[in-house]
Amino acid sequence: MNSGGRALFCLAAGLLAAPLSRASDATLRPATAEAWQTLSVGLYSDAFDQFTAAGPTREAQLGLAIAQLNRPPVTPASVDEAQHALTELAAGNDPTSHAARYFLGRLQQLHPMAPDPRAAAAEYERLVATGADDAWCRLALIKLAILRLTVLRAPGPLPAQLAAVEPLLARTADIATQHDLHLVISEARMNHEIYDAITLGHLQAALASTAATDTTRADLLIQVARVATLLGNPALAREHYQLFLRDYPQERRAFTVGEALAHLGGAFPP
Amino acid sequence: MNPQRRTLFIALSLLAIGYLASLGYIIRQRRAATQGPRPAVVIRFAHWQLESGMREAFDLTARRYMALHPEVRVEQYAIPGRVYRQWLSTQIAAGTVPDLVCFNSTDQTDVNQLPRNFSSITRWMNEPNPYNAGTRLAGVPWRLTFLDGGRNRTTYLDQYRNYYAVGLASHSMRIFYNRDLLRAITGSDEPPHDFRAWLELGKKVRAYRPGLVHVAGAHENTIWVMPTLINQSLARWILTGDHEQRFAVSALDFFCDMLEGRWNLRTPPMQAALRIMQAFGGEMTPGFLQLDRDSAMRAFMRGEALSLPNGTWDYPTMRATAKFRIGALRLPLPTPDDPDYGGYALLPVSDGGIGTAMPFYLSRQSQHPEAAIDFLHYVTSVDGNRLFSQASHWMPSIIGVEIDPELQPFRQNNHGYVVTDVQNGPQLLNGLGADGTQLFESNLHILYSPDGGVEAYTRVLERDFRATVIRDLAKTLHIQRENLRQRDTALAALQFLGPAEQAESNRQQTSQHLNEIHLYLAEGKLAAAQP
Repeated sequence: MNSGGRALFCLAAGLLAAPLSRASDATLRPATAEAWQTLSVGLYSDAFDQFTAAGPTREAQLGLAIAQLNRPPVTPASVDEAQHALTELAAGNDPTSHAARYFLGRLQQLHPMAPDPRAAAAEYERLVATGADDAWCRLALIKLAILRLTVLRAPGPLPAQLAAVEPLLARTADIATQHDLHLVISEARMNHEIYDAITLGHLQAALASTAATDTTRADLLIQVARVATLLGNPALAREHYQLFLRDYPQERRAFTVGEALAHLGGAFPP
Repeated sequence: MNPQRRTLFIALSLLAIGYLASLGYIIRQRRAATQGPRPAVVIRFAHWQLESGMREAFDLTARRYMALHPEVRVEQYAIPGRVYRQWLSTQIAAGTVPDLVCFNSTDQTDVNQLPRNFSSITRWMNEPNPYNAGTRLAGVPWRLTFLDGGRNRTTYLDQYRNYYAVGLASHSMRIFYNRDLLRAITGSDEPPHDFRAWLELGKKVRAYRPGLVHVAGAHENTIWVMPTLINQSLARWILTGDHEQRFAVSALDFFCDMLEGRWNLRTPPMQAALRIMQAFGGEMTPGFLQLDRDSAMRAFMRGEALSLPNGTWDYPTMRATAKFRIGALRLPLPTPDDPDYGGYALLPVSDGGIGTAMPFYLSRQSQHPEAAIDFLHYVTSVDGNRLFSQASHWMPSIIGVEIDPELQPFRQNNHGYVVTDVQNGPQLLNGLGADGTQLFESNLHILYSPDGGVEAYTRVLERDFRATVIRDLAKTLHIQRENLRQRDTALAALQFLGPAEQAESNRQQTSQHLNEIHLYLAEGKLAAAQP
């Protein structure tokens, strides 16, 4: 075979190899799972095609609508199309409908053209009201808390506005969801420089349910120690600074924490 | 033959001779390269590190590896940095990407595209590096053998929750100086360690020889020197913006404080910052804002300047070219009692955290991913990384690999305060975004002109400062909102996969919630600040 013929052969073999390789990959896992995997790495158009090929199941329809939310170009028409599909899917009371309703809320909240936090909160409230304990209802509860801590605050002075979110904690028994609720409540309170016993309580509750490998743990140890210091509780501060130094000796803030520990009795920074 | 035809004939003949000569050269090179037994596997790697000695260091490491594995040939592609991106894009489109590719970008669009072209290496990162057998890193997961746990902005992509690259070296930023010249000027090799003493040295430099410059300045140097110097000089004051009590102030915290009226350009620490900038710039080559990095480097190497702010990646080139001994010092900071510049630093100061550099990614197009990873295992083993570090004069990326005594002054120093957020710390003099940077930089000449100065610069900046911060903040929040939207989709997708992916989704949702509440809190402050 001459070099031209060889090149043509290679090209043909390459063109054939690509679909064959895709076909052999596809046999490894179900088509819908493959599409979710593709969506999880942000390849929206590819995922859209895979969901389309997966057939008209409710799960594939949901995937199609979620992919559509990000598939370029994102236009008012493409967003409307996704919204319409999500609304249809949200009509039931199974995890797929809950996921669809959650994404309806997210679409309202983070809408690329016209965000509407009030409409988003209404979707989350409907989900929370189902009393279901699936991933979507749990997420909705936290998103509702975030909105009520910020753009949809209750009337009254700031402490009352923030306190109005606390009852949401009783709406779930899931430890991880409670952890995230404690976390967002304490963040909002500290952002407003409210360093009181309530804030410390939320920080401690969040820390108590934080896994050793969680990236927020180092922050929480420092935050508990610093708020405890501000509240005149050096023993609690010492305990948490020491835990930080024990568990994160190489962390970039280790020197600062060491100095804060050394100056617990006086002003810091010295 | 008329003269015109004769000229054409000569030109065509020369062209043909050149073509044939090139052809002959290429054939000879190919023959030479393919002599001996044909290797079963060819691993190609690409990078843009053309600094002196780098290609040789890579070659040496590859030769040692090939001696261990005669069935493998390792080929190096050293591509100039100026054309690297275009070259890589072409290779990707043509399906000819080398197996291993050095790549680094802060552009989110590039980062989003990485999994399309490069494979996750997480499964290898969780296994021990076989080349560490018999060392104290034997049995340790590969990722934990790196100085930074294998995890930094370039090697671990948080949004894809996977490891994608390994760093072959580590770096620090220093002010390099001509030791021989310093001794001639001051009678000592020892550089000054505080800002005031450093300014005094500048006077001696200028008095020593007309035209001699204290610091070889360039626009690129200014971009990192000034903000780092200012951040470090003002750390005590910056810490007052740490409302969430983390010992880690973010740019959002800091500039939202400005919008709330907690500080402005006339606030004493900011005025001190501008005085430090003015004084530092006064030590640099006149007109440094118009100069590029190469001209600063040339001035330093020719002995026209005593010192040069630079990263340690250029040390091999400087070392190979310099006809003098090279020293290095950290940025000199004002002492607490300095009446003009001091009072706002937290001393001692940290370099800011250990990280590895020169990340290499595994191409999805690689025909031999296992062999390519095996080569990376070797380069990042205790022995391989020591060899590479010693040959390249770049600092190692692996725990326990000794830093060459010559490189000791560059060792990252983390025994000190650092109060800014790791990814999103405030860059006071760069502003919150592109508009802020432009405002500071485009007016910088006023700070240094004979009829300008701190007051004139402040007056010009403050006209647009608030509006600029508002514009930058709005853009930043818009981007964050878009990122949230995209992350939402990715995290939702994981919920439909296996238990491990669901657990990962739940774990990452926590940081998504935190990012989201910070976005809303900042949006509230932005709304309140707008007229």
